[in-house]
Amino acid sequence: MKSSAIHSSDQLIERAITIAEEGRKKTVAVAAAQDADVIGAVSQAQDDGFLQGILVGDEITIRKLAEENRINIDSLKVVDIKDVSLAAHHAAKLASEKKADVIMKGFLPTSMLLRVVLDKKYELRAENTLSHCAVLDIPGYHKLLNFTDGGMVVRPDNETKFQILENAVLVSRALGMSPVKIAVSSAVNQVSVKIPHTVSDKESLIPLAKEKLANIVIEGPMTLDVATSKGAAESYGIGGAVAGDADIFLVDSIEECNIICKSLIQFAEAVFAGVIVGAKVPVSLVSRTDTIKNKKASLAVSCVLADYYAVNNVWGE
Amino acid sequence: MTIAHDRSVNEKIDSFEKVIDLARQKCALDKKPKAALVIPDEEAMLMAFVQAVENDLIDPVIIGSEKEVSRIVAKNSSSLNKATIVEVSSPEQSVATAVQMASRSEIDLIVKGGLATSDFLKLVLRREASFVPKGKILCHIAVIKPARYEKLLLLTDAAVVVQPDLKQKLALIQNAAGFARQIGIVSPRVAVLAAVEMIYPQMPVTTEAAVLAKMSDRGQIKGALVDGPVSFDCAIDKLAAESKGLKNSQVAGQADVLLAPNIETAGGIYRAMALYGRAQMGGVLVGGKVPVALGAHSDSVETKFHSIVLGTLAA
Repeated sequence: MKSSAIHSSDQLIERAITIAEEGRKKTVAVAAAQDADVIGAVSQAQDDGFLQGILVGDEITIRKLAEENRINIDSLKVVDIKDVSLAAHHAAKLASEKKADVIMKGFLPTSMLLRVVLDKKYELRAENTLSHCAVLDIPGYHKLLNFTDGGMVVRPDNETKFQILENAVLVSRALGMSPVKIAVSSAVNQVSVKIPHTVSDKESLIPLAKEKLANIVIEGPMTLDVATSKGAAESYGIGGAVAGDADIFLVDSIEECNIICKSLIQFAEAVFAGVIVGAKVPVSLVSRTDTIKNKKASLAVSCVLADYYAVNNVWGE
Repeated sequence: MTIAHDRSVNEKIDSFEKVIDLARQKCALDKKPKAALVIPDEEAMLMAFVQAVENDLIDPVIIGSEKEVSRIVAKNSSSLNKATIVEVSSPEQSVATAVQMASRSEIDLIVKGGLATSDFLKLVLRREASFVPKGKILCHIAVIKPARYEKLLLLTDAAVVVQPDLKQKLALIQNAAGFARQIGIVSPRVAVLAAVEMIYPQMPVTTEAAVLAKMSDRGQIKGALVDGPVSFDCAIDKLAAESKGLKNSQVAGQADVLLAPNIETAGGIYRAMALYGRAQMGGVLVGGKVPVALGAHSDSVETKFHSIVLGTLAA
């Protein structure tokens, strides 16, 4: 599998297309699909050939938005359910019946969608908390960097931080990384009592990850420059397998992750692919301000992750 | 004199070129600041220091061990032959000497050489050093000019205050606003960064940002316009700000200052910009008896030169 590692957002989209060409095309069910950006993204990805979309939502509005924005939805299935909560339930039901591989957020609050996805009756719930992975293709870095968690958990405790890491490792494995190289973030490269999480990371998180997760290398505390630049790592005298070559950048708060990622997207032209991980199906969401490339990459990472789940029977059914 | 003064007030300082010009004008009006390079054995900072001397921006003082100082002065004799030399026997003593000289107004600026920032901070923050006047707070301010932003961005705090509480955030804003004025940004727009633009009780970063914004509305924060919570994209991108409903904000989309919620976030932005933002950078510590010019170990000579220039303006 090593030769098939994905190192850029273009390769990510190509992989999603290859998966479809090999006969494993993924179906994406959109909950409350009456949102022009979402319809546009799904329609484009379907034209690219990497997914089949099911738009669950207010059909009249969906068709009106498609027409107004000149989006061709002829090849997309539409299921007419006006109520947004019922639409979310229908999308979750499709996933639980294996009629959909990915759930995508439409015109409803994220929290409402996730509550439905976690509803016990759909059996989509796994053991871990839900967390967000932002897979960034940063011009100047030689591989993808998976930042987590900048979208779900505000300030994880030790146990939750480990679950967030375990979720992120699934994504990096789906991207073909072997071993998965994990940098545990901090503002400094040493354990410092003034920064309490550096102590707990070193004493509990890192040993726990080494014990429970196979085929990983984890090091930290580590700053972003050391994690992604061999030159910076050398200037601090830091060696090891992770420095300058990290696949995952595990941070300590939602703000740290979200803000650093956005600085890279805004000022370093990084392409971003986001996915919510932890349930038995990936949950995809795109934002109005995302570029077309970001939206496609986000759908692609969800499809590649869903394929990894299916091919490797990750949830053991 | 008035011409130079008017120019500095009227012209928008939106690049490091203009910051360097401003520093030159200040030198022409005033006497050159005395800048003390502490522990001169770090190559990039030494080169930046020599560059600042050659540009006539500082009056050099070098504090270090006899051996390293004489080696360095011999190597850069044309620029450093008039430098005031202070010989000390240990890194701790170098920092202590610089702090004492600052207290006696014998120097106007400290330039941090070959000593880890964390070790340097431990020494200057010792109570007996009395480097930080009572009621003041020492903080790091980075100045960043990303290729894709039309002006300078100040960022705090990537080095000193780990997890500022509300009171410390206020002090950081005041430090940053004061420093912004010193480099010619008259009424800085301060974005209090968060992951989102809405206020959620379960996210204390957003509630504190809202308090700061309201204090600014009520005129409780002088010399700056403050808004928050603001996400990074809304802070610097007008379109993003408008699409998230922040159209009426005086800060969103055009921030001069970014107040990060914690040291990891500010440090992450700093390093992301240094490595991937095609950005010009510099950084100083303010709030002490004199400003401190400094850079990260991996920073370039240019970044460190900018730090010294910024330091002269804060002096």
